[in-house]
Formats: sequence, structure tokens, C-alpha cells
Amino acid sequence: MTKFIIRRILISIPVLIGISFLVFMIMQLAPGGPMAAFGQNPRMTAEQRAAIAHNWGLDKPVLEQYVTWFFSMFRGDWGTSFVTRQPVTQLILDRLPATLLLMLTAYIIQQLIALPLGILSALKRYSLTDKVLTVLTYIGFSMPTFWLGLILVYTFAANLKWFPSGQITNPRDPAFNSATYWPWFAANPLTAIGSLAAHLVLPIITLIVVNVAADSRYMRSSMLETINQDYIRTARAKGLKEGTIVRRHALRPALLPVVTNIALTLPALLGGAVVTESIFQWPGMGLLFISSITAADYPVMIGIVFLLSAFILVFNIIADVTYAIIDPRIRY
Amino acid sequence: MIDSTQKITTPAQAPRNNDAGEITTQTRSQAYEFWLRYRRHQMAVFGTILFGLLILIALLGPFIVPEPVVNTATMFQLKNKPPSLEHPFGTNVNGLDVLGLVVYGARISLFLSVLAMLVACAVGTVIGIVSGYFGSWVDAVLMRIADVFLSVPLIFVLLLASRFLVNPPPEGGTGSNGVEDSSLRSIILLPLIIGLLTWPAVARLVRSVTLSVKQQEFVTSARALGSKDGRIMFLHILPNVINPVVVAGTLIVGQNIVLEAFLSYLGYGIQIPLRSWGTALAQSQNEFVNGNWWWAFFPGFFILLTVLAINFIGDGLRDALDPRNKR
Repeated sequence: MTKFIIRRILISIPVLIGISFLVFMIMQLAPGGPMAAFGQNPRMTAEQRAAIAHNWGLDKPVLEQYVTWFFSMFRGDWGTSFVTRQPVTQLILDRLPATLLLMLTAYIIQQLIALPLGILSALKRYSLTDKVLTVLTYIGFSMPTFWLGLILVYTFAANLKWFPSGQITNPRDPAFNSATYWPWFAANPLTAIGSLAAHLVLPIITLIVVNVAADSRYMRSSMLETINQDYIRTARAKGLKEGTIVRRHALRPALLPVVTNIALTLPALLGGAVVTESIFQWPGMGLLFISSITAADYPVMIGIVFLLSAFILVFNIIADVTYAIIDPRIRY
Repeated sequence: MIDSTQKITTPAQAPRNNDAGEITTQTRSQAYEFWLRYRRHQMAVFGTILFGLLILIALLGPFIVPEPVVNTATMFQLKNKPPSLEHPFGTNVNGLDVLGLVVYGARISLFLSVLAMLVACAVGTVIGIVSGYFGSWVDAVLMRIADVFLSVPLIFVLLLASRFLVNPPPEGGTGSNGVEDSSLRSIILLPLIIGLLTWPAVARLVRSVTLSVKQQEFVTSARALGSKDGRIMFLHILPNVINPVVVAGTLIVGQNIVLEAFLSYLGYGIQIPLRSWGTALAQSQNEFVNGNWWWAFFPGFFILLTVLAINFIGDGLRDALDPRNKR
């Protein structure tokens, strides 16, 4: 097992290097190159620009720049933002809690809805419930997420005023994760949690609709496959109650592929972060990323892409390993 | 669609079907067989009709609906008008007819998404066949490259690559960038970028089909007859991978429509004066306070309809093109 995990991790290293190269080349080849942020400043002379380029080693050969850059990324030196002059790692760490709060809550709720729906759909195959759910999953799966977010904001925030239209805290409360936030949180825990919950509702719905549709379909087909196996028929022939059959005999094998799928969908959720955060002005990494694009703030952009890619690779490994652990048929 | 009605005479045997000793059979062409299976998939037929209508809107609509161009003279009178007979989908904050935005956006959105899909399918098919056919180190290298693209957060990298869509800052740092120029850049480069980032899914699929096809006898016999690698790959193997690529390609178009719409909505995709469905509803949420829901609703609703139709078609194609589903 250990050998399998080590091999799996070793395979991921060239992929991570490849990702860093891809991202680096996008920065190099895009108009203006890494210096694009300064190209827009009319008060800067060509000499000043050349001096910056020289200072940063941007006049060296591209490959040499890449190697230098890669090793400093590796050492944890991700540079400073062109805009705020703060270290990129600090900027990202400040924004990470908001993103994680949104992602993890959405992730749990998504599974709590998708799995029962899929099982229900499979057990009542071709019934009216199944057909309605099938049509709904098609619609959910085809949903342009950002548009759904807009419609939710219009209906439930702008019109009905049930939920706030965006942000993570009320304007009069301390900003989320700021120096004053946590003392305030400790002083009024109920108000703070209530406010967070109210701000979470619409972003979470936006974030999970597509995934719930996809995951419930996946659960449905996995359940259908198991329920048609011979041993289930045997269990029925023995006169076991349908509920017992479903819970004890069918559910566990049907959940096997689903567990892998669950690990694989977390990265997809991270991708959805940029969409949801931009619609709801949720102060997480996605919003930070979007604000850094216009400014051509490459250190921030690259740092975020790099971190997310690493996340994705780690979850791919976790998916492979859990699958190997829980499925006794797999020999590694 | 029935190709021909053939008469097969069976001279030696006793007449079975009619007095003349002939059995009438109908030869069904492959296409007809496909159509019979496709027709059975109700949602696919519905999707096809819906998609056909959307194509008609994209092709003919611009001859009926005037192009949405900001007119400073009438802008304030026409601002934020709710849906009416004159403007069925209402108008936006700039006094533009939302129906016009939808109709003109359909052209760009569909064109771009299909083009990006073609790029992804072309690159993915070639790499997939080469990778599966040669195996060994070629396969290992190509598939690691595919892994790189598959492990990258797509939307983030697309946004990063949107830097290509901006014009290079002119030497000396100041001056405005040509508007026409940047919209032309966006319509050419954006589908290329999307295609070049999404090919690995196709490549993986094609590779797996190639791996099984290359083991079959007709490939061995072609090789025995002295066919070169290139000929085997693109004459013998390629026809076998087309069906799955068609299915995947269909679904990719739907995915591209949503991707493009989001990028353009943020302002990092198609650049105005060209208009896609994404640019059509950019900034629309700012008018929610004025009660304007139609501006955001209609372009997005058309995105949903299109993607839904495409997903139905893709599912129907999958069922109809897979010979194992033959009933």
C-alpha cells in the first residue's frame, strides 16, 4: 500500500512541474509579458521599465528565468503583489478561510442532497418521481451557474429581501477574518453565525446545483447496477425486507464508486468558487483572482492557480488511494 | 430514407413468401438504422428541434431584428423598458433591445463554442490516436502532458489566458487600444485558447478506443499488407474513433457555451462591439435595484435552453451510435 501511495505521489510531481511551466509560459507570451502591469503606467519612462526588468532578472533567457522562478516557488517565496506590495502567500492565506467556509459547507450539503436523490431515483426507476428527477437533473446539469446566481440575487435578495445580496458579513459588522472580526465573533457568537448562515444560503445554492445534478445521476446509475445483481435477487428470494436489502446489501457496494467521485468533485467545486464569488462578491480567493487579472498582477494570479492545481492533484491521489483501500477487488 | 427494396430469388427452395418464389426484404442503410435508434430517444428529438430553432434564430434573426447599437439620441427614452410588444424582451440600461442582444449573441456564442470544440476534437483525436497507437514512451509523454491540462483549474487558467485578449500596451505606455482590434482578437483567440485547454478529455477517450481497435484483426492484416503507420492510424483506426468523438464533441459545445458566457460576462471574453450571450448580460445585476430583471433573464435563459438541447442531443447520439444498444 505504502508503495502504491509513494508511486502515485511520484507520478504527480512531473505533472505539477508541467503545470508550473504552462502557467509561466502564459505569463511570458501574453501581451506585455510579466511587465504588463507597468506597461499601463504612462508616467513611467522606458529607462525605469528597463531598470525594473533588469532588477528582477527579466532580461535573462526565458528558461533561466523559469528555473529560478520555479525554485523560489518551491521554497515558498511566491513574490509580492504588484498592487498591494504584500507577500502573495499572506494575501492568499487571508482569503482562504472565506473560500474554505463556502466550499466545505456547500460540499457537505451537496452530498446530503445528491446521494439520497440518486438512491430514491434508482429504487423507483421509471416512476413519476424518477422521471421528474431525471428532467430536473438535466436542467440542473445544463445550468449556467453565474446566471442562476444572478436570478437568485434578483428574486431572493433584491425583490423578496430574504437574504443579503452578497458579501460575507453585514456592512456594519467587522470585516470577515479581519483583526476585529474574531473578538466580535467571540462576543456575539449567535449573531455572527446567524449572519454567516444568511450570507451563505444563496452562494451555496448557486454553487451546488450543477454538482447535485451530476452526483445524483452518478449515484443513481451506481445503485441501479448493484440492485440488478444476482445476490440482491437471492436476498429477495430469502424473503428479506426491501429496506434491509437496500441498507445492508445494496447500499455499500453502490457507494464504492461514489466515494471516489466525491473526492474528485471537490476540485470542481473550487473551480466554481471563482464564479460564485464573483457574483456574490464573496471575499475569497476567486474574487482576489479576478481583481488581480485586470491589474496584470501575475504573482497573485500564478500563486492561486498553483495552489489550486496542487489541491486538485492531492485530491486525485486521495481518490485513487481511498478507492484502492475500500474496494477489496483492487490489487495494487 | 429506405435505400432500396431488393428482391432475392430463392430458386432451389420451395416458395415461402409469395407465389413467385421471392422473399422481399428491405435493406436498411447505416444512417437509417441510426435514425431509428435516435428517434426512440424522445428527449433527443426534442433537443434536436429546439437546437434547430436556435440555429434558425442565429441565422435568420439578424435579418429581422435591428442590430443593437448604442444610440445616444434615444438612449434615455428607451432605458430599462419592461417587455412590451415593441421590445418583447425589454431594453437594458443603455436602451438596447434585449431581443437584439439575444439574437446577435446567438451567432457569436454558437460559432465560438463550435469552433473551440473543433479545435479540441482535432488536437485531441490526433494526439489520442498517436498516443494509443505507438504506446511506450510516446504514450507516456503525451498522457503526462494531458494530465497537466486536466489537473489545472480550467476557469482560472482561462481567466489567466484572457491576458492574450488585451492589446499589448503601446511602446511608451500610454494611448488607448483599438476597440475594433480587441474584439477581432477575442473572436479569433478565445476559441483557440478554449480548444487548446480542453483537448485532453478527447485525447484520453480516443486513446482508449485506439488501444482496443489496434488489437483487432483488420489492423494486423493492414500491417501484414505493408501499410505504413500513418495510413493505419488515419485510414483504419480513425473511422472507429469518430463515433465517441462526435458524442464527446457535442457535450463539449454545451460546456463551451457556459464557459464563454461566464468569461464574457466578466469582461474577459468576447469584447464589445462583438456581442455574445455573455456580453449581453454583463453588468445586468446593477439594474436589479431598478427592477430590471429581463435584461439578465433572457440571454441567460437562452444559454440554458441551448445547453439543455445540446445535452439531450449528446445523450441521444450516445445511445444511437453505440452498437451495443442495438435492440
